[in-house]
Amino acid sequence: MASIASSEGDRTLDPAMQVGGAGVDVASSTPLQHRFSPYSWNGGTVLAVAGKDYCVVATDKRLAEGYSILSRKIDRALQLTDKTVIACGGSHNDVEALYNHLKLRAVMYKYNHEEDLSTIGAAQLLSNTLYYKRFFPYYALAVIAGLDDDGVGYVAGYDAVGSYLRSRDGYTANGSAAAIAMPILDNALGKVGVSSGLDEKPEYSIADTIEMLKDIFVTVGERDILCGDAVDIYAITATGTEHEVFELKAD
Amino acid sequence: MVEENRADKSFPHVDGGFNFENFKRNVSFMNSDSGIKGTMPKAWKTGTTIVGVVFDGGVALAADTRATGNVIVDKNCEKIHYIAPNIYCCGAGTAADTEMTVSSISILQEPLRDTHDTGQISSQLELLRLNTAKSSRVVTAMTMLKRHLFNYQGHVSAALVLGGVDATGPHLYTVYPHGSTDKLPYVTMGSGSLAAMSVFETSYKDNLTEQEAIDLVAEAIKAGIFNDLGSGSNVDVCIITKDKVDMKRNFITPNDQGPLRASISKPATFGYFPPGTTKVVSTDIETFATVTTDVEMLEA
Amino acid sequence: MATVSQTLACAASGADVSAGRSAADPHKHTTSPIVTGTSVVALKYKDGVMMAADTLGSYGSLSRFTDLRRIVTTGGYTLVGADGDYSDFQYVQDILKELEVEDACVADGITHSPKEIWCCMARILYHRRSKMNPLWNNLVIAGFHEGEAFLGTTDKIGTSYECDFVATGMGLHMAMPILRRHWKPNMSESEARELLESCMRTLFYRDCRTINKITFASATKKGPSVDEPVEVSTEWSYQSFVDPKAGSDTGGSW
Repeated sequence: MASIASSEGDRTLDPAMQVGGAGVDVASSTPLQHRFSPYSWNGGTVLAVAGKDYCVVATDKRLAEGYSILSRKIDRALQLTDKTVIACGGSHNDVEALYNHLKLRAVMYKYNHEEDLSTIGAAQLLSNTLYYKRFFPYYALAVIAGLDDDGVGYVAGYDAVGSYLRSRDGYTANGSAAAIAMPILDNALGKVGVSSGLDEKPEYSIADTIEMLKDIFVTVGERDILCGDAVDIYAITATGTEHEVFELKAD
Repeated sequence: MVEENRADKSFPHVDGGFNFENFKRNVSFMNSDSGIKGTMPKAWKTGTTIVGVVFDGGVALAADTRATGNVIVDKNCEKIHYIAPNIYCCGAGTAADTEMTVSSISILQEPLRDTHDTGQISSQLELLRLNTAKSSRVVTAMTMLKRHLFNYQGHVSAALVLGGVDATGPHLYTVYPHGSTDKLPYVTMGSGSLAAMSVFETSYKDNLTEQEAIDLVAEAIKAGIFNDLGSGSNVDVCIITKDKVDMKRNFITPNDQGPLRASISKPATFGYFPPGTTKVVSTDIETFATVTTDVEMLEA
Repeated sequence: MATVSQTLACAASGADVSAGRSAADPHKHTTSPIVTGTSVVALKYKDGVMMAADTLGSYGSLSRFTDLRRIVTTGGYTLVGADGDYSDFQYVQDILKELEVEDACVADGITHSPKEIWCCMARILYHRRSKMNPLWNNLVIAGFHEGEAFLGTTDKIGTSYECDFVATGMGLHMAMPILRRHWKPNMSESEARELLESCMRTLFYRDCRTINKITFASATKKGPSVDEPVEVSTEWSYQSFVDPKAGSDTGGSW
């Protein structure tokens, strides 16, 4: 390979020029190292809100890579049981692999125990599954949403290696635009150390919560380039889960 | 021995010219293990799709209107800059570089005033016009831009689409950050350049009419807006012909969030900030001056 | 006959049966592609799915092989197209062949559907990326089965999704905008062919790693088929391409 000389390979004038190196360059005298990354950053924003007897989780449908849109209609959420939904931003290959594993575990659980895995059980399972790959993590920024054993809305957010926390105030955000969305949720729903000028934070109905989440997605879609195209919304109640798709801007 | 010394003197070290030590320093900052690692400020990029096409008797330029930093910092910025009454320029790359390189409002700033560069391009062209009493030529602007950018060896990251109509007809150039230029019937630049070029490669033809040119560049920018995440929001178009310049700011606005918002019936309390949202913790009034009005009787 | 799972298990254990290599040698991973193919473009249309790829095998910037077929048929319903490393694609073809043989041995008349093959490919590519030993390809899997068209893709790290139309590599940047602008459901065969040709023409104009020798393939109710390569029409006679550009007053810089 080195016998095919290329003058281009000798340019070392400018460190800035050496950055990147995505191109195929087998012919140069000092071949550019193709660094393989098993991860991709495909975006994905997940928001979830829990109420007295319901839970709503929403996630966008844009699959992005760099500055490109791979797909405008992927499913980022996994309906694990009638009352539990998991949604993840991050590297979509890992997210899919994680979902395949969890789906299998949920099915096996049902065969073994003759009942659905509970939301709280699924939350622990998700944590263990993520930590199992502690030193080659699933790049999945997860949110779990459902109903706890008392039928109260349950939402929890995770890091990529399984640390998780049930939200005290009943809302969480993860993924690409989490940092933009979180202060909006804090303002609307936060009970601790957050002032909104209202004496008491209102209790929103499930319908209001859905509309609120749509509005937040429009807002973050205005500022986060990875967030857009459409949102999957899952509304979970004791009677089951309803799914709707809300269109966002495509730019 | 003596000879060598003499040879040294015939090429004395001269202060001035260009020096890229600071660039190397910044790179070492970024790579060092010290606390400063990775903390260099991040410049705003225009992301950008910019295009131009030559038509019968003129040039059409167009741009999207998104500027991106860590988030979208401007949803309706202007990327078509004034160069001369008959010449305009679309800029992609680092926002500051494109603006300071071509902008008419930039003034002679001390750090930029060096041996070769005594002002920015539109200002220099204005002075040239005053001196020569002749209207500017596009090739002049292009030459000044490429000299400026070549001097900085690509460190001024401005990628430009330069278009105008002068005494010799319509001209369209691209200018790359390293200073190379190209003259073509249709050109695209920026992160959305490939998406935009796909429109030109499928729809361009010779001798476009003005209207066809407008439609073509708008379609090219829309391809950038909807396929490239660095580009977004609206389409700006600028039509330059022999007699006039028609700046069509926000020619197409395909990304109005109004209808989306209107389709949502969000609860009234959400996103509402009543008076007192920020709690008053303490009040302290400082008296800086007391103004009194004395009425003096004028003596009769 | 090794089954697919045995092949994978062998790869997973790092067992190397090739001659001339001792166990002491460090295990070599594909860290960069050598002979490469560029974009694959595909779309669904009224009768099924249509796919196109050129026939160039690049060796770095050298146009090394000019008649490589990067779209193959597998099973009774499916097309598989690949960009990236050609030897890795040939290994993928070996796996596909094993799948076919397994189907034939079971002899129950059932063969893998396009979606199953897509799913299998995605898992294999994800499996290999997890061992940090990727198959350096984007695969496009298309087919027509039980009256329905299928189109899906997976990249070398196993990012996979279904779609109505897709373009890999440079095609993602230059053909996808064309497809997003002009694709519509239930296009006729000629409309679909015209759209694909438009994509391949644009890529030929703008992607350095292409030649104008393009295989078109389709999967319909008649089954999958790959045509012999053809040329697409090109246009090089635009006035300002032909005219000298650096005239005295009209051209290059001073």
